[in-house]
Amino acid sequence: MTTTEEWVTPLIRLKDIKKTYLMGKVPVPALRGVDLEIADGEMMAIMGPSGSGKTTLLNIVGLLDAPSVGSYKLQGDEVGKLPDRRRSQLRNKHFGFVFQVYNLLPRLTALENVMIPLIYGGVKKNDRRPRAEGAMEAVGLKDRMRHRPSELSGGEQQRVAIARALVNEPAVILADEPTGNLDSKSGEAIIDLVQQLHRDRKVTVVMVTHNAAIADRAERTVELRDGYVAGDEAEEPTG
Amino acid sequence: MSRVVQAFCDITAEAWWELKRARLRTYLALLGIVLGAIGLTVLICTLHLENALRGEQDTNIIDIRMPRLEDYDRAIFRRKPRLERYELTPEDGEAIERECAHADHVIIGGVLGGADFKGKKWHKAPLVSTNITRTDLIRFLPYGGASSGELVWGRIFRPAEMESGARVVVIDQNMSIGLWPKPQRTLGNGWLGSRSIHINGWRFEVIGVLRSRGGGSGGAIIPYTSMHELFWDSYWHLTAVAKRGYRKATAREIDDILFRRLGDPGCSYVVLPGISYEELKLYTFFGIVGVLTLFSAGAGVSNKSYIDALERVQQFAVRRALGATKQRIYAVVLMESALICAFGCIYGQIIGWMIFASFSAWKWIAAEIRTPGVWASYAIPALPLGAMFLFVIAFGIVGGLQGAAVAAKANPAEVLAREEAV
Repeated sequence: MTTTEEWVTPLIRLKDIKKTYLMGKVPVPALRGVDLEIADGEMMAIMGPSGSGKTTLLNIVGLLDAPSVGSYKLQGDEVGKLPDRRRSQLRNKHFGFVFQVYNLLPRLTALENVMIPLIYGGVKKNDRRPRAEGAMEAVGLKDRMRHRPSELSGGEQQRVAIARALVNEPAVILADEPTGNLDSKSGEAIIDLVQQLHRDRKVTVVMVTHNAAIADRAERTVELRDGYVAGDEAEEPTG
Repeated sequence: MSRVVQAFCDITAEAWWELKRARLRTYLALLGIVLGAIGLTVLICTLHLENALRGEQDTNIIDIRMPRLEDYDRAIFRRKPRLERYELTPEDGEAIERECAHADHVIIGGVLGGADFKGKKWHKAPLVSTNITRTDLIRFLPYGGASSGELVWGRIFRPAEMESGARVVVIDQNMSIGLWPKPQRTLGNGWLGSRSIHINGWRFEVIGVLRSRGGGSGGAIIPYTSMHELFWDSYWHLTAVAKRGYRKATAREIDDILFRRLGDPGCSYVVLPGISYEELKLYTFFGIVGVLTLFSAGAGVSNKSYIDALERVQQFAVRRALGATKQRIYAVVLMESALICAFGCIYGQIIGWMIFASFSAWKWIAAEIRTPGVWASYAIPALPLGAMFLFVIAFGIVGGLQGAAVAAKANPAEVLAREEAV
């Protein structure tokens, strides 16, 4: 007899994930055996001190990096050792990235930046603009679409980055210190936006942060320490 | 297939997005390609024209009415016989025949049909011409590059036929084959005996066939008197063959005669110079400079691509994070280089051809333009310029390889790692 919980496959399942980098000839372990499951529609914060492996974990979850050892299942399929081309496709389809320093392409307009994931996703040309405009509207920047990143404030740039992350309607948004470069007011607005999108679109959010107040807004907080999961708390989010 | 086309268009669009906000080094690389392409284009056009003038590729000169340039290559390059042609009426030609002492002989004649301009479209029709000399000997000069002047059947005109304006015609093999593809079936006595053709409604008996040298729609020669009588409104011309060593003197004499007759030497005098060996050397020099510039520009494109890739490595990493494959990044960077070279080449070819055409107009065509009814222009050598275009694009792609390799190696994980370090 199986329970309902056993039937439900988590969106992401990491099992004994280890990642070791080579600094010259010296192996430096970043993750020492992480077991983690992320459910569909969850909003999760990853906390921990510098060097604890947060970004490495986020890279592995986002298929930007491959684990040295361990199993990574995405929607039940093993994806940890896929070839680069397949990983790129999965990344485009399932993940949206929000970076600390926004990482918008400076020579493109805000709208063009948002259209980029659609291009890589093979979306037909005629469909790209309306979808990108819809994403810009969702983040409240419809009137700033033709501006270049240098013409936008930090908060606006991060909104564009969120629109870019959303435009492909990914299953997961991975945000690495999304408010790290913003003042507290703008940061608060960004978190509000992320939380609202999470609620409205049921999108899974995995967010790395140092800020406990931001982590409190998540439904679940995972704490990393020295490459291990040191804590995993599910709680009623605030805000 | 449509996915491939869409991917190609997307790659081009991505590359274009980057290029349209280009930096100074992009413009410099573009400038280098433009300059190189100008030099190479001038060289290609010059060599092409030179070839055409030698009669080796006379089809590369289009839209030329009279005088026909292919007749000049002998005068210019082989230096025998020395031919110069002038736009004249038959009366002017007859006056020159009488008065010009240094001319070995002059030929006046008319041309009917041939290359003509109707309804803004050039077309070729069988050429009907006539030639007569001062010595009353018909000289079947090669015309249209198609006839050798050598009879393969029949005879030429008799003096009585010349004087009386008999309705007789000598055709060339091309016309003969065009009219009677299988003459052996229809001919009884002789090859084309008792055959006749109609020229503008007038019936002419075929009395001879000239050996053809090449292609063409064929031609026919009728007596001068017949031409004058029946087709007085045809295109009349004069060819002067100077005695050896008297080319310039003949030209001067004819100029004086025409000045007396027409009062405007600029209107009467057309001497088309050839490309001299010195000029050819100069063109070749500029062409070589162009090629070297092109190679330097190629190195510039390579350098630009490499430096750009190093500077934009984080951007490429972001693109990778957003779903771009390594191959996609590679292709975009190569496309950027190819586009720079393509635009540079197009601009260079246009400017280069304009320079060449301007020089040609000044040297080759200006004199003709002053002569009513005579007009000439030079064809764009499409095939060599097309090959050059492809070569330059390939050049750009090769130049972009190093930068593309750097860009494709961008590791998206590093982006996040760097950010954590920020």
